[in-house]
Amino acid sequence: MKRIATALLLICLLSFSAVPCFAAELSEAATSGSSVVSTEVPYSHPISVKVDNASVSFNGSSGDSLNIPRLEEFKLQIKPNDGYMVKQILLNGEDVTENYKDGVLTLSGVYEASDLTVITDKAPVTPASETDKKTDENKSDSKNGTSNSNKTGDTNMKSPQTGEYTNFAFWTALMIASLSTVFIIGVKTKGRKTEE
Amino acid sequence: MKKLIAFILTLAVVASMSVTAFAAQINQDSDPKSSDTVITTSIAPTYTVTIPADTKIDFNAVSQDFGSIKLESARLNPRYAVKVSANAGVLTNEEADLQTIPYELKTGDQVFTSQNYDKAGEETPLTIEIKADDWNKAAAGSYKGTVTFTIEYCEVLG
Repeated sequence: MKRIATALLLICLLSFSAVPCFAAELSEAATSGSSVVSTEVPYSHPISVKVDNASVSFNGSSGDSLNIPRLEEFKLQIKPNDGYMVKQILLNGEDVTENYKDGVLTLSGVYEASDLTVITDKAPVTPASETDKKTDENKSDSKNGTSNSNKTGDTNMKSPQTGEYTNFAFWTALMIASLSTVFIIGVKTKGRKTEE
Repeated sequence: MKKLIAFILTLAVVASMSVTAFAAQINQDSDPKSSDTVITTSIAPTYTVTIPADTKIDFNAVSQDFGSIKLESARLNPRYAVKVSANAGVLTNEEADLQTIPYELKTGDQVFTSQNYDKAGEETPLTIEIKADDWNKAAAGSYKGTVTFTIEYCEVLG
């Protein structure tokens, strides 16, 4: 009987008890997110070539635009046409002519698309080449049915140089000495004949 | 002995139970005839922050838009704010770790490090800036970097 009374008493106590309920704690822990940033740096850059009376090539390829490796040393072959010479070379407006030697322009450190300008000028005419030029002209004239002999009023034509104009005084003195010797021999010979 | 254990158990039960509060009763005999009822509630703070998406920077671009940080919606406690901080570093060549391109995260002319937001709609436009000299020195290849944004809910002092 006592046990039953105790059990009932405990049940009554439990019915009056409440279950504690705690508020949820606000978490202030930091959160994070991320964004990926990327880029591409090209391995080569186009060089736009502006040139007259010459050809520019790189590794055998030529044209108005050449692909040059980034930040590396490279060599451009620049070949002026006959009768022309390279006067000045500009890379993005900067004079790089000093890097041009024996038909090769050596550059390095290209890091963007660039402009290459090659300025040419007529090569100075040497006497030998002038003679060759005249020979070529004569050939072309003969092909056209004309010849130099038919040309008149060509003030640029020069007669071929003949004779020896060096040591003029020496040869004059030799001539005088020779004439004098002949004269003396002649006088002596005439004197002997008179004595006989 | 049993009685002692039963007594201790009973004390333990009583100690662990809560007292149920009943509504105050006011009747004709009550003095005064008024009573206060305290109503409490708690609203959990909520907020949504957007950060810039992944971005590819154009070659040789010294400044490029990077989107913006924006507090899209917010229900914050008074004197509290959402603090967003970002750390920028370098872009690393994927083929050679030693080759890097430094960059800066900027908002206007200022370098962005962190910003507090307490109202929905507040926004900070960002740009990524790389110096021309750093571009010029960069070796060829693909570069990648990560901007980490840290978001904190914090009390604003003062």
